[in-house]
Amino acid sequence: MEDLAPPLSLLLKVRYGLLAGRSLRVTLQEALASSDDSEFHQALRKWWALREAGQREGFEGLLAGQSIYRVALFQLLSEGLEGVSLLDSLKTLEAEIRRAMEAELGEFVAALPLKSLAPLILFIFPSLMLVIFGPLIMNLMEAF
Amino acid sequence: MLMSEGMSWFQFVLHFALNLSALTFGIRITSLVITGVHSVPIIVTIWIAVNVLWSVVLAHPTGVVASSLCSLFALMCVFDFLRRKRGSERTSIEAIRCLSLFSLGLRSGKSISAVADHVLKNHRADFSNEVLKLLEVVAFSQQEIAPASSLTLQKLQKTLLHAAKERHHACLFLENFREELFLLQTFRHRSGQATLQVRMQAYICAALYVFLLVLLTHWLGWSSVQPIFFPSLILMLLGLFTLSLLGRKRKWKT
Repeated sequence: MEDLAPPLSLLLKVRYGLLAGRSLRVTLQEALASSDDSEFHQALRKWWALREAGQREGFEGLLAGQSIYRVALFQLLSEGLEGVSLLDSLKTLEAEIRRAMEAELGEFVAALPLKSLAPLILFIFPSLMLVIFGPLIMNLMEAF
Repeated sequence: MLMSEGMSWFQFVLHFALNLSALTFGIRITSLVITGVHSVPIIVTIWIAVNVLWSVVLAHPTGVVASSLCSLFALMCVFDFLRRKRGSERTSIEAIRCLSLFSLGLRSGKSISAVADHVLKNHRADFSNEVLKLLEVVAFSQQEIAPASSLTLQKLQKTLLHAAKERHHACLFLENFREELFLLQTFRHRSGQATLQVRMQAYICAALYVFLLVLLTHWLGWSSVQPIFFPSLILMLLGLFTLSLLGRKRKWKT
C-alpha cells in the first residue's frame, strides 16, 4: 500500500483546487490530465466523457463493482458540476474514506500472519526438512 | 578452477560471507566514526589491500579474488536497493520539513522567497542537494530548474512554484500538500510495519537454508547433497516468492 486510495487522492485534489479558488471543472480537468491507467481513473475518464457528451444513461454501468465511497464521490462530483456547494460534503466524505482506509489496513495487518503461514508450511518447512533429513533418509535407504 | 587451486566450495562461501560482513560492518562503523560519504572509498581501499594480502597468504588468488568480487557485487546490490528505498522515505520527510518551515514563515508574515532564503541560510544541513536547488529557485526566481527526480520532489517543486505565483493562497497550498504527505507517510509506515514481519521471516528462512546447505556440503560432500539440492531449492524459492507476494504493494478496495 504505497499510495493513498484513488478516491481520497482525487478528493484531496478537488478540495485543494476548490480552496484555491479554481472551479470544479478546471480542477477535474487537471486531475484527469495527471491520472494513471488504474481502474478508478479509467472509470473517471469515461464518466467525464459521458458528462461532456451530455449523456446520463451510462453512469450506473460505470459505477458497478466500485466501492460505496467511489460511488459517493462520483455522485458528489456530479452534483458539484450541476452547481451544488461541495466543500462541506467533501470534508465529510474525506473523513469517511480515511476511516475506511484505516479499517482496510487493519484487516490487512490482522490477516497477514495467518496468510504467511501457508507458504511457510507448504514450501519452506518441507524444504528445510528435506535439507536436514534428506541425506539421513538416503543413507538409511542405502543401508537397508 | 577454484577446486584445482585447493579452495573448496565451503572455503569459498565462508570467504564470501566473511568479506560481505567485513565490508558491511566496516562501512557502517567507519560512517559512524567519520560521518560522511568519503568513508566508503576508504574502507573499500582497505578491503582491497586486505584481500590482496589474503590471496598471497592463502596461495589461491583466483578463489579469493572471485569470492571478494562476488561479495562486493552483492554488497553493491544491497546498498543500491537500500539507497533507493530510504531515498524515497527521506525525500518525503524532507518535503514535510520544508513545507512546515514555509508554512511557519508565511504565517509569521514573510514572503515565500524570504522564507526560502531563510531556510537556505539556517537549515542547509537538513536538506539534500536537490531540495536546496529547488529552494534556490524559489528564493531567486529568475533561475531555470530541471524537473526533479522523484515524484514527491516534483510535486514539492510544483507546489512551491505555484505558491510563489499565487501568493494569496500560498499557505493553504503548502499546508494542504503537507497534510497529504503526512497521511501518505502514516499509511506507508503502518503497512511497512506489517510487512516487515513477513520479510524478516523470509530472510531468516533463506539464511537458515543457505547455512544448512553449506554445512551439509562441508560434512557430507557435494555428492550426498546433490539429490536433495534442486527439490529443496525449488521449494524454498517458491516459499520465498509467495512470502514476497504477501508483502507487496496491493490495491485499495476503498
